[in-house]
Amino acid sequence: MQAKNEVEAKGMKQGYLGLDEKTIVGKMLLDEIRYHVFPKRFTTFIRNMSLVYLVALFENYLGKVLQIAMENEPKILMTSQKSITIEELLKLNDIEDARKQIIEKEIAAIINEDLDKVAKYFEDKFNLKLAEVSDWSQFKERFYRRNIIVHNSGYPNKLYRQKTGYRGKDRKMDVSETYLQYSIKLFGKWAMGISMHFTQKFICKNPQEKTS
Amino acid sequence: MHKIGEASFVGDQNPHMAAFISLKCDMLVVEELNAIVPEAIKHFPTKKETLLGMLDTLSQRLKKGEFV
Repeated sequence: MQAKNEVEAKGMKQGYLGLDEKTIVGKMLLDEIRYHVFPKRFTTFIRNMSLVYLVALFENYLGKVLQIAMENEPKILMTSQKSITIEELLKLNDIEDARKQIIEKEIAAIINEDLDKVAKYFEDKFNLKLAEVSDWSQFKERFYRRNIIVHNSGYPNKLYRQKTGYRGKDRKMDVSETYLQYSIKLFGKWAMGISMHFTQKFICKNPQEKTS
Repeated sequence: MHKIGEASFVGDQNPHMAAFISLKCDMLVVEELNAIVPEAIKHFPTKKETLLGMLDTLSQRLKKGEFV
């Protein structure tokens, strides 16, 4: 009876009675994992990794769009700072291989840059003003959140705050279901816009290049 | 099927749109994966019990002071 009162008074589970404090803490932790943390963690993990993958997919998409543009219009590469070494050149079969290698290097250098620099490149080379699109800040935030998930356990760092204007607490920023669904919608909309811009710039201007 | 054929046709005609279609397809997979996550968790108990078993063992060893 006394034990029952103790349970009610302290809000403790019966299974913890008679145990020392350290053991109770350990058991409570396990219970927490059993009933709350673990299933939530699994869902959070899938969503976080989905965002990481989405950003990788989008970067891959941007690389593909640039590759198509550069192959169709090699003069885009005229101001490129990329070069190939004599050793690399000797391994190549022809000028086409050399061009492919330069394109590959150029794209890797652009895509690995900070998103603001990527936007600047698209504006300078293709007159595509990404930073002027109304939901640019939301779009951009996805890339920096991906970075803090991968490199900072999801906690906002200096770069995240600086780039997104976040001024909130140092709380873990996981990916919610709504956030992920909106991200997919947002990336689809942006990709559609970019592809349409490149279509107007290259395909509609030079219809003979359609199947090249 | 009709839509896939249509998209493929657009992609053949326009590589920039093909890149978009390819991205869209991959994003659909991500969307579908997340839609089935709640169901997938239900099939997780076996692995969860394994992990909890490991934590129990670790907890016992900690109590015995093995890591002090």
